[in-house]
Amino acid sequence: MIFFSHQFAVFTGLFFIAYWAVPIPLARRLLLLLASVTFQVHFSGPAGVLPIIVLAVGTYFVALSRNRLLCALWITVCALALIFYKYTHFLFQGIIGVAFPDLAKSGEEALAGILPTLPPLGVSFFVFEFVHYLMEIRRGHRPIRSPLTFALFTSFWPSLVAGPIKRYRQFSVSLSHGARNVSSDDVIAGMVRLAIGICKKFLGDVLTSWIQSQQASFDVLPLSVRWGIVVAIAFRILLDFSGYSDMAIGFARMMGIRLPENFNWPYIAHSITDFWRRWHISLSTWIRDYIYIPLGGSRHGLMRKSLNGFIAMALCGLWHGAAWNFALWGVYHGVGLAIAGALPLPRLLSEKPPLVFSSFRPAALAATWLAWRGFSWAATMLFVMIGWLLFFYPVDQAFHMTLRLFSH
Amino acid sequence: MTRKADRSQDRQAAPHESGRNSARFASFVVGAVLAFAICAAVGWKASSSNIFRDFGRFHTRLSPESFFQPTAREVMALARELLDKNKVNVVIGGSSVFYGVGQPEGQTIADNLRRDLGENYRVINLAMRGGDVSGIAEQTVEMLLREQYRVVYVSDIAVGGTVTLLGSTPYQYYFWDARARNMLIDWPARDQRLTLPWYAEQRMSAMLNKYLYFMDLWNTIGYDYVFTVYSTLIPGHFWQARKDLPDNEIDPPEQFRYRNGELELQLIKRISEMPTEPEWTLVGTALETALPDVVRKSAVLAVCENSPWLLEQAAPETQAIRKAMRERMVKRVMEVGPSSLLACEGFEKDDYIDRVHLSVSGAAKIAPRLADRVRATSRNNGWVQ
Repeated sequence: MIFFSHQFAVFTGLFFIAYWAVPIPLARRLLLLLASVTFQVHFSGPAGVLPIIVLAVGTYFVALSRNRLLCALWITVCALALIFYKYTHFLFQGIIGVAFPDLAKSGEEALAGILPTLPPLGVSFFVFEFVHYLMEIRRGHRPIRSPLTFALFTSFWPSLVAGPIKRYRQFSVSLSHGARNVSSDDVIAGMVRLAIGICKKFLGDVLTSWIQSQQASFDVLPLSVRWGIVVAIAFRILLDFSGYSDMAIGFARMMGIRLPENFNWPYIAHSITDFWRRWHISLSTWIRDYIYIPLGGSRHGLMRKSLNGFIAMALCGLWHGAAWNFALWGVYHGVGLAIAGALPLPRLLSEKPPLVFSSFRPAALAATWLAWRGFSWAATMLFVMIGWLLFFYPVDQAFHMTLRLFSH
Repeated sequence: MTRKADRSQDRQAAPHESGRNSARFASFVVGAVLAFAICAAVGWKASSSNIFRDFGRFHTRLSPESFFQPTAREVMALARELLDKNKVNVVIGGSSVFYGVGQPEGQTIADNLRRDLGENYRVINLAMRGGDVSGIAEQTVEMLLREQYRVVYVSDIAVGGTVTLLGSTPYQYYFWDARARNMLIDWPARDQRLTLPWYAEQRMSAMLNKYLYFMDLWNTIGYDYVFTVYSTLIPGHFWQARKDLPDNEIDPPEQFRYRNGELELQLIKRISEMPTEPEWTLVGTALETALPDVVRKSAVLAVCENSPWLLEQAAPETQAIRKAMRERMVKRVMEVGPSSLLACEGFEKDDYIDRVHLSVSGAAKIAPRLADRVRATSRNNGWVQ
């Protein structure tokens, strides 16, 4: 991946030397923009940077107009661009092709000339940030007037590859601070964070190699090793995602800029709700703010709340990749969240021990509460880990592997 | 946020890092630079002398296959220790055939050749599994020739097989490493073809390593102390110091030989199509491009045919095509410089362990044939009487 190439190492080395050496804030901003554009152009892949530039320029001017209708229209354009670049193949093969294979084939052939083999680098992050920005403008917040600041919000290179998804108001303030003054504390904290990210990514890669070497013989492995693989998958995903986030946050901090946190010990969560408060926080809050709440959130009864949750989580799943297993992984968590929020039994898995235990003596209550927390944590982890099989493998394989976890 | 506000903030943002902050920052930078410099110096020092002990070959647990990537400096340090400028040196290269799959340590082609050639020669086995005529061994030959060693390069080449420009993919890093350090022979025919975009990352890696010696340092740590990258080839011991992992190549027992006989027979049929004239031309051109002329002049390329036991089971027309291909291959190779021989003519079923790899007895049989060619090449070059 990009952060682990030697070309990237040289790029960052030269960039930071220049960034720290230049004392003028405006020059720092210009240097950061130059680096971000260079990064995007160099690593953009076959799709190039033109689609992102068009979307960014449109977003900037539409936001300046502060016209709610125009904002809504441009949000639609951004979403369509994302669907076109990232989901066209899935739409044809995974949906249309199921019922009308000829239509899907001819459709793909018609688009073959204009659809690049890979989507533009970071297109999901770009679109989510543009949508966030335009939604905030629609809600009455003031747009970024400076083209330079907007360009930096758009193209800030540390968060281009794997987030975190930025919020423009926090970022603008932080950018301004970073351009004015980078303290040694920032640089050291950033480097430590970067080192943690690199180590996490490295450990994640070791786990990936081990998982790949074992998964072919999953069916014939002892049950304990099968469960070991599932646990390894869970840690591999965490280490990989959070490693990249740590690196992005570390790079930004080395510039004196703070990016939002993305992970907060998700595997100590004791409920599904708690898990989503700790896992990929910038994405889950984005989904909450710009999909779940606009759909009605929890305001229109249990059924509607559950339906909104399913839709939001299915989209969250699809954001990770254009395949059915991602969508089903999202729905799986949507179901988990709905059950956790609706039924008495899963509610017992959340924050507090059931009231029935309150009549116990304090020591017994504490012990019971601890046991309850342990049980709720184990149940949550079981749910999450089985979900990762769906995230990692095609649906039928994930289902088969899940069955094999519970049979000799 | 208005543009005015932005400008105002920028004006406030004069470079006013406090003196204390600047001093801390400067000391941090100096510390970081010093740490890098020390690591680079240790890497340089480590690869200045041979790190490999009791070297036989780059076996699977000590090769790029298992993510141990010896650098050009390290291999040269090894070669300097094992070879002798006052003698004729033989560098074995090529694929798993000459690496010695199926031949335990001490019974490889290289070991037999060493015994056959005697005291006036030195032999080192740098062949790699999945390797090629070009690659680590050939590039080491270039480096040795630059240091005025007398070298005969001995490699296997498949019937009808071509040669890649820089060696097989897992070993290409070595070319870029040696090239960045200016250790290779200038060879414009090869250099002109190094423009592919996917070479950029390897080139950059080698350029960084040239100054920072991180690969050299990490190899020393990995060889002597602890390894950090998981490899499916050594799943239970991937962290172990590579020096503690012995060469585990075995002489396979009878029941493990020719295990995929039927599949291999089908493969023989598939690869037995007489190349066209342009394709034969390409075989020679690829050799001329990948190997500098000075290397080709002192190279012995052994054309190794598939197991005769399997060939005998193929259709008569397939056998006829293979025969014609073998003879044409030898001729084409010799046209572009190297000495070439049909190295496995007259071999029997037991001289192979599968379609291509020689058994211990095959290694013992092929070595005298190679030794003759090595002596002839040495005489032709005026190194021996």
